[in-house]
Amino acid sequence: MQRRDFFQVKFVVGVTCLTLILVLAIFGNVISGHDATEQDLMSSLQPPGLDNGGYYLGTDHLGRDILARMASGARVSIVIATSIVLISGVFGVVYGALSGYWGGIRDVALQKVVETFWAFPPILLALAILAFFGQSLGNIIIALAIQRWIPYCRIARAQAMVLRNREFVSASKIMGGGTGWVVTRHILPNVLASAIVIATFSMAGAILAEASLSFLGLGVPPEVPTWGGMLAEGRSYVVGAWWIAVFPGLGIFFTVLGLNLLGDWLRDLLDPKSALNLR
Amino acid sequence: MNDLPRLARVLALAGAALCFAASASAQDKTMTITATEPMTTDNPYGESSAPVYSLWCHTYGCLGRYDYAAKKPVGILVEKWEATDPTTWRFTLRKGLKRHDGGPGPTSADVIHSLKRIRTDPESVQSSFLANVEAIVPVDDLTFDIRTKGPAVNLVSALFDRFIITSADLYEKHGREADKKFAMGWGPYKLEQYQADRRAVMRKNPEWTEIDGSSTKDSPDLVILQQMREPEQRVNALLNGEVQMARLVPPQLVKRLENRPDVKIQKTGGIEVMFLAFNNKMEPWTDARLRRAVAYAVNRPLIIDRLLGGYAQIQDGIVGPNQFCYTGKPDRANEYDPAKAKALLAEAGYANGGPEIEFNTAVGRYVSDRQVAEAVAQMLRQVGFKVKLNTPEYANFWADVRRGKSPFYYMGRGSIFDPSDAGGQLFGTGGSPRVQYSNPKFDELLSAQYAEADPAKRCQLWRQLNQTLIDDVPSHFMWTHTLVTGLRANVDINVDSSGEFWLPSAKMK
Repeated sequence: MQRRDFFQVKFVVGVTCLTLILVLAIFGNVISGHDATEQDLMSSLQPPGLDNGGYYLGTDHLGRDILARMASGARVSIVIATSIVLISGVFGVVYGALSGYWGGIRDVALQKVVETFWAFPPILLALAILAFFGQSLGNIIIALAIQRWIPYCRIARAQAMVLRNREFVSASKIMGGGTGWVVTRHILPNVLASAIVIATFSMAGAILAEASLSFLGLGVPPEVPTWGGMLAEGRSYVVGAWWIAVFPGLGIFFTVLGLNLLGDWLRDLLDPKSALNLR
Repeated sequence: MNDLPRLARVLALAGAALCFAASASAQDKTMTITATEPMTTDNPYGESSAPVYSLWCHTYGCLGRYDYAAKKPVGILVEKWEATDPTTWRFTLRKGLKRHDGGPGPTSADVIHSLKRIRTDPESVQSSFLANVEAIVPVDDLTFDIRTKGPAVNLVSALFDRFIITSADLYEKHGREADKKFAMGWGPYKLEQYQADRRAVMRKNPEWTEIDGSSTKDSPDLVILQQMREPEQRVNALLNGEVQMARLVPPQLVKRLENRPDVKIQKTGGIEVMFLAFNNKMEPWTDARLRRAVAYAVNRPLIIDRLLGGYAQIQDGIVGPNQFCYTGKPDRANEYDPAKAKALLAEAGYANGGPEIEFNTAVGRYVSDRQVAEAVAQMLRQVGFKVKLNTPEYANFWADVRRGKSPFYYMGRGSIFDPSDAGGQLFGTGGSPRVQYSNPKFDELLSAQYAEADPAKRCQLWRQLNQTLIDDVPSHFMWTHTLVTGLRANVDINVDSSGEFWLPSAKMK
């Protein structure tokens, strides 16, 4: 297979998966015609089908529509993952770029902070934060973002350390450019490509982490539908009502697959050298 | 090189020893039982839940137990008891028992020490069932009187299955270390290992004899209580033979156990009363109309039918069909009636919705607890309440409930066979802060039933007490679960209405 074709397969499959999830998130409730939290105990555990009262993907033990909950879960996952990537990405890149650009004692001090955060097991830290501050959308974003900025920081620092000795950076400094100017004009634009690649993988990781926390019952509040929460609820019913767990499982699978393929494709596109090294 | 034959001999001897050990342990009948309750401390007075009391009753020994099959109390460490006057009960300890380390049998001094420890040990959380006890007075080594503050016809049922007797002698020598290194009692099983929140291992006490002389030769030699909170884990472990007894199988998993030749199912009508508890001193629950509105808003038959698979019986009040003093259906009950609920809310000033309430539930502690709470929350919203459902970790949930910090919650109260103990604890003035209900009429009836020795008259008093609770709704009673236990086919054990069992009468093939 030609390298270019391989890139296209990754792109097409990745974008298709993510488009399907986006369509589900935007139009899922319109298609289903039900509210994600509306219960109808008389219609509990209806199997998927076209002729069962509009419950196309079936209902759960409380008679809630799986399709509507899938759509709502997709929106929650997207909001959480995007927020985490934005917060951790912006913070991590700026922090790493400054640390690498400054160097010396300031770099050492800033990196000690990084190492401290890095020492905590990520899920344990998130569990501790959620157990202490309680369950909410904001808290889960903070709990997951608090460690996910480190990969951005490491990459940004490494690149900043290389870039700070380049001629164009020296020229900028000689012409009176301060730290802010040099970092925003010369360092950050050069870090952006790597940060975008990390962001796609990090988004997939954030979705999995959120699903894990929701599965453990420590994600968002219990009545907000999430794929992880749906999986946890469905596991007891998997023998008699497989659809409760299988559909959110597929949602997580296709989202993570799509993001990983897109991340791979982006990395190959933006950083061909690392792609060749991998071969 | 000269050492080689000696090394070979050592290895051969070690191999033989290992084979012997393996064959000896292979002959042991081992029963692994799933545990679902927290087991956080080896202090026998440090927790208060029916399974934990049961563990310590089997090892240290307690005064006695209630035999639900025979419908009568049976002695464990005591052989005789009688009321000598309205405020005094005389108990006689069994003769011929030996402590697990060969030490002397239980004495009145051990009973007095146990009472003292329950009341003074800073880790103890068990003092509530002894609230009515004024003093324990020794008559001789094996006889003691328990004097109560007021008449207490229910004293035996309040103490049995709960009052753990530990050795005064060992505690005097070792202090708190006695629980860790010298956990020797007189019960039918000897504690071999205790790992907090993981497992407890007990070995059959060869010296033990049942009080009625029945044989214990078929009972398991080694019993492992293995912590398994997740119901799926319990059921899988039973199906693959990892455990011999899976407790609290939820309705949706019962199907997996049906039609399996290697597994059998035991169903027992439970006495753990599930209820929606209000803190009657916290807003907005000071208003009885709102409490009543909750009772009318919740469709209990629908939840039992659709969510609990029919594995529960509706409970009106604190006394239900599986309990002592049940005298038939109450005269009035709070049946599902959303229109009445809406009218009460309007009358209380919430015609346009509200009040905003927080509703807390444990998760994984009771059968389908989270699902039930979600259904209840939805039903409350349908009549106008603005509900925020919280699912805190069980430890946090329980801590808040015990301190009276939880305004509205779904939970159960286990082992309510004789309703006096739980009735006084939860609803008597000055009882536990969990509900904070106070009603002079209820207190008066409660005191009267403590003094009524005639069971028929006492049960009529309980009928009135029950009706007061239904009418006043300090809590809304929901149901008692049908306890479903999965057993391997080679195990015969009777799980009683409290959800517990007596291991010496179990049989393992």
